[in-house]
Amino acid sequence: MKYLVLETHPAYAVVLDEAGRFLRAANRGYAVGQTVEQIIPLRQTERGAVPRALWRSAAGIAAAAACFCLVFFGYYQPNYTAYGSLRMQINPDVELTLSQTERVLSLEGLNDDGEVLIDGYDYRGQDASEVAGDLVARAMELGYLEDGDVVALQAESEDEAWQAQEEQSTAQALEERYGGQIEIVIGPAPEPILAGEDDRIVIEIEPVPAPEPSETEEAAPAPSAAPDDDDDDDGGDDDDGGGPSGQQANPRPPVAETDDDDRDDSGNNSSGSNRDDNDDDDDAHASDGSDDDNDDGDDDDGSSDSDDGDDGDSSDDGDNNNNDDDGDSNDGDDDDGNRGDDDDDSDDGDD
Amino acid sequence: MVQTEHQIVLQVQAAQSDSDAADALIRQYMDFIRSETSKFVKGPLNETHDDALSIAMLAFYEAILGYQRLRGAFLPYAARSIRNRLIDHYRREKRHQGVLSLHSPQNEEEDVLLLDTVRDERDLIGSFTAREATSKEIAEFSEQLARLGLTFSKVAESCPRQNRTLEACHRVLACARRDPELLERFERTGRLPIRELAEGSGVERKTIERHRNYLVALLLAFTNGYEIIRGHLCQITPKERWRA
Repeated sequence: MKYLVLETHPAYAVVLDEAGRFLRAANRGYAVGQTVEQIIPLRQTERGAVPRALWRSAAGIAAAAACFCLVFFGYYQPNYTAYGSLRMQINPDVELTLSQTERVLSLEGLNDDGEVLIDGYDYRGQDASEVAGDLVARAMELGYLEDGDVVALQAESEDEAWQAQEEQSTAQALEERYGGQIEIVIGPAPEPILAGEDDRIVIEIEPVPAPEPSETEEAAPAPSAAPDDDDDDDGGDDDDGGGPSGQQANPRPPVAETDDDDRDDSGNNSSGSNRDDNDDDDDAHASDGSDDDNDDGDDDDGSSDSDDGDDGDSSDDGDNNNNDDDGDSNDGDDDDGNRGDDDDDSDDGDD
Repeated sequence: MVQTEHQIVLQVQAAQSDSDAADALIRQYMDFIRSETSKFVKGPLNETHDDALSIAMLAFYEAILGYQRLRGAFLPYAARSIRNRLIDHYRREKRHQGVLSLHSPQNEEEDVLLLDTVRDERDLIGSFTAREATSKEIAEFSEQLARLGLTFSKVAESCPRQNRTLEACHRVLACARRDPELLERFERTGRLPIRELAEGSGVERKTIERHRNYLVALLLAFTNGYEIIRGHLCQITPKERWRA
């Protein structure tokens, strides 16, 4: 390659090579117009660019950070970070904390039976469906779960799509494994069937004190069972009324009451139902307050015929049923719920 | 005159964009460059070290161009640059260890240098004349460039470094040469018809604009009667040579 010297400066010269490149090179005594064969070209770092060492270390750090992010968000986080939970209710109530990839991160018993069920069970490394299946098997072994029983699944997460999908897939897995033997439902455990049917009681177990104690107390002072029921009904009304409406007719339509009852039943609010009971008291009669309480207690206790069945439910529903059972006309009225107050009055009479 | 660091930095920064300022700065620190070179060759400088000095000066110029405040004080940075350059050069030169300087004395006598005894094969006068003609053309070229606001240094700065880009620029040149109208428009206005060139050559607008100074010089070389220069550029369009 020949280079044509175009221009000279003290420290360099501008030369033209045969391919048309204009280059700067060391000026080794060049004269303009001279052709030279060898040059020492100028070496330039890119102007304005970050120095190489700095660039390299920055690049290295960036690469390390990228790797970390990749591993963390790609593997660790979806597999080891809690993303939601799955709650399984047989009688024992357990909750599985899950990662995004359905890996079980922790296991917790939500009631005493639940704790018994999971005691000693090693869930590590397994996914939701496996653990659920294992626990169902265990429940069967321990006698909690028998043929025909219902298993309720509920998933919880900020991601609703994931939540629904989780419920579906676990339900399906259980179906495949135990489909013939048990029934799987999604959502909160269903209402217990009427008392008297064995083992069909799916109890939503909230670790709230059961109203049993009050029931016992109330049994004594309770004037009569039937009125108690009624009262309960009233109480239900009261609840709906939302307060001590007292003797006033409960303005609420029967539906509302029922709704409340339903709510009470499924809401797992024993405390709630207790409250309701109190309300009932209000309605019943100020004087009868105690009676009412008793009544409520009765209902809750389930000592009353129908109450028994109702124990699981909030008293209201139970009451209604009870009423029916009792066969009281009043009760029947109570059931309607419309004339809860009226009924009470009449009930009072009955009492 | 001892300058403060701040003043030096300002000068260096000015010299980065102005080749005259760069020349002045180099002249100002010539002693510094000499002393650094002499430190490297471990002795006083003589003609044998001409090359070394040229290299040292180039290194100083490189330091000017590449200096950024975050690299610390300028003079130490320049000193490092000179040292590295000299090391590189002499490492390569080590392969030519057997070379004797033409400037060394012939027979232990200081008067007659080897240089004088070697017969000169070159046609010095002939080549001198040729050089004269060439430098005249170059001077014209330089003048035309100056009218368009360019210097050779600026053109050299704008010249593409990658072969790939260089070839793209050649394609732009070929496109311009194919279309005399384009070339004539360029001559007249002194500006590149970028859009047409991009379309005609298939080269991206961005590339053309990034190397516009270089392209101006290239096109210029092919417009007027720059015979010698074009003759020198034999590698650009070899095909052209075979065209009737």
